[in-house]
Amino acid sequence: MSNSHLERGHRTLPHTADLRIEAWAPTREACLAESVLALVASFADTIHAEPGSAVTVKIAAQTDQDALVAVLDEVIYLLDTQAAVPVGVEVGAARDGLSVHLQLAPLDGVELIGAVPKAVTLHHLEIARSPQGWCCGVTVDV
Amino acid sequence: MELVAETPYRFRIDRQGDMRVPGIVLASKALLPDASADRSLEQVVNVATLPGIVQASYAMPDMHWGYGFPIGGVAATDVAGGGVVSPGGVGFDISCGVRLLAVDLDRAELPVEQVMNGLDRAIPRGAGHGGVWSLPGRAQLERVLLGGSRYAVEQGHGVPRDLARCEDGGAIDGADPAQVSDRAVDRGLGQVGSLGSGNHFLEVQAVTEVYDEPAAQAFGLRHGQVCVMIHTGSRGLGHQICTDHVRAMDKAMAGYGISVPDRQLACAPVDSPEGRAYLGAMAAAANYARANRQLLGEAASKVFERATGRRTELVYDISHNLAKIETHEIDGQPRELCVHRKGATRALPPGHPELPDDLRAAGQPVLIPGSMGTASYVLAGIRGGGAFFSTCHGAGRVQSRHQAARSINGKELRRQLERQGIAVRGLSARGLAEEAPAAYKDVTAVIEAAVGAGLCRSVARLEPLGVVKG
Repeated sequence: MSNSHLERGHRTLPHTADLRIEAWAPTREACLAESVLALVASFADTIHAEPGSAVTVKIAAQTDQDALVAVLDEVIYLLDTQAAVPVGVEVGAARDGLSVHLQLAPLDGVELIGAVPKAVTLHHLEIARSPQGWCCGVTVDV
Repeated sequence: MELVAETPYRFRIDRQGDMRVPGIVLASKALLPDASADRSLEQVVNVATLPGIVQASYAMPDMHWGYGFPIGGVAATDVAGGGVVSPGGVGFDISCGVRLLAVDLDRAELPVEQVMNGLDRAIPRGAGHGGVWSLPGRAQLERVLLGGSRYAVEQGHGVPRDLARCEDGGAIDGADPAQVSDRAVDRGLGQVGSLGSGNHFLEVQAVTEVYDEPAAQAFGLRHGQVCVMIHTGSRGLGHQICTDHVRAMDKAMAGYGISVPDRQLACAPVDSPEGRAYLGAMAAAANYARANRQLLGEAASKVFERATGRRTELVYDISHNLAKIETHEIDGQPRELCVHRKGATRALPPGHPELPDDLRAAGQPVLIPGSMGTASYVLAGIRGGGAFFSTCHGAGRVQSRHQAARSINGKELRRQLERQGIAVRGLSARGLAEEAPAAYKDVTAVIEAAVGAGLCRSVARLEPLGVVKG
């Protein structure tokens, strides 16, 4: 996992079985938001997508790793149950956890450009603070 | 890592470090993973550290890099000896498997375009929800979780013979819907009777070679016959169940004094509250997967009946991601084992009491899908079959989806397949490109190694005429 990037961003890396995403940002919350964008960018081109709805979820997590997994789990859940794809995300601290606000576009309004994520694994799960900010890495089942 | 060649198709990794048993890789030298790009041999070693593992941590010829367990991994733990069950040893797509239907039709009689257009309309696929069986709520879904294909047949979605041709008579006992979370139910409700995406597919195929005539006859296959192969699993429900129980075991492991080299190997003793909870939920997901394939099989059969007036019969339905409690002899004594097969197929030998009467002489049918556009195989179990009567499950990936998509454009791949006479009904060009044949090992080499390693025997080869993909 690289932590030498400036400001915030994300990328995907090949994995024989599945998909590896990495994200980085100055704060933990921004890093989590960036991980959501990384996950979405792995399978959907949302550039022309219009948000049609929004949802705010509360996440209670004991550790940073739990928070990372829970945020990404939410994306997969929304995809499967509401056929909705996040096109905007804000993560903020909330009492006993995090508040995640997602702007959603319908799945049929985005162009699919990769395999759709189905689960977040604990394999080489990483989230850490560094002098440059926060960075994380996640292996995703597709 | 040192691999000791015991035979041309069997390599041993001797015990080292925390390994409780050796690793055994059942493959040809050419099929062994390239350590620079694929760390599945390390994963064979990691699995060998699991509490209660017996005999060996096995890998099948189509092994490749997963997370936690290798894909193509087989591991059995001794239940009475504190052996563990690991949801990662089953995989996210619980009871992902293959169903093969034989159509009473020769390939020369097949109206390919008409059938493919019918399948294109009838088979839900791709991301999100939408299945051929709309369930009103949790109560009816729970009946699917308990009854699997049996419930589907009771509801008119098939015939009783289908159940004899499905592993476990169409449903695993011991399913416990109470261990299935609301989120798993939410994900599963709208997906019964759908293919999904990734490497899942429905193919129209023809039998091009028969290697074992009596077995092929028992299975209901003949040269030139049209078949339908369906590859899918337990969809979002299975993934959520695996997710939930890996997380629960990840937190509970320390209480049992267990530590694992990869968190995705999280496990708990089979005989523990967490172990029992997982096995109950896993059985529920397996039953969901069988009902899913039952409904897709029914939908495909209706298309053939409408287009050709011909009927289909189920050849067999197998799972290649499952843990089962089975009795095997260890050191001359029968022992109750929890056998994990992740990307590996059970292959019961001729004469096995669990086989239906009409298959007992031939052994269990094993269905091996090739990569898109290449051959698939029907195999059978053999007496003395290794790795707890297990064999391979497919071709086995060698390239990531990114690499595959970079190597060929989906539209070009579609043209190539159509030039080979294979009709394609895909949803996205990218989805096709990710499953390009070059991304996989050569399935024929995999079968040769599986047979050479004493895991199974070949019965028939099938070649694709049309493919329906998410």
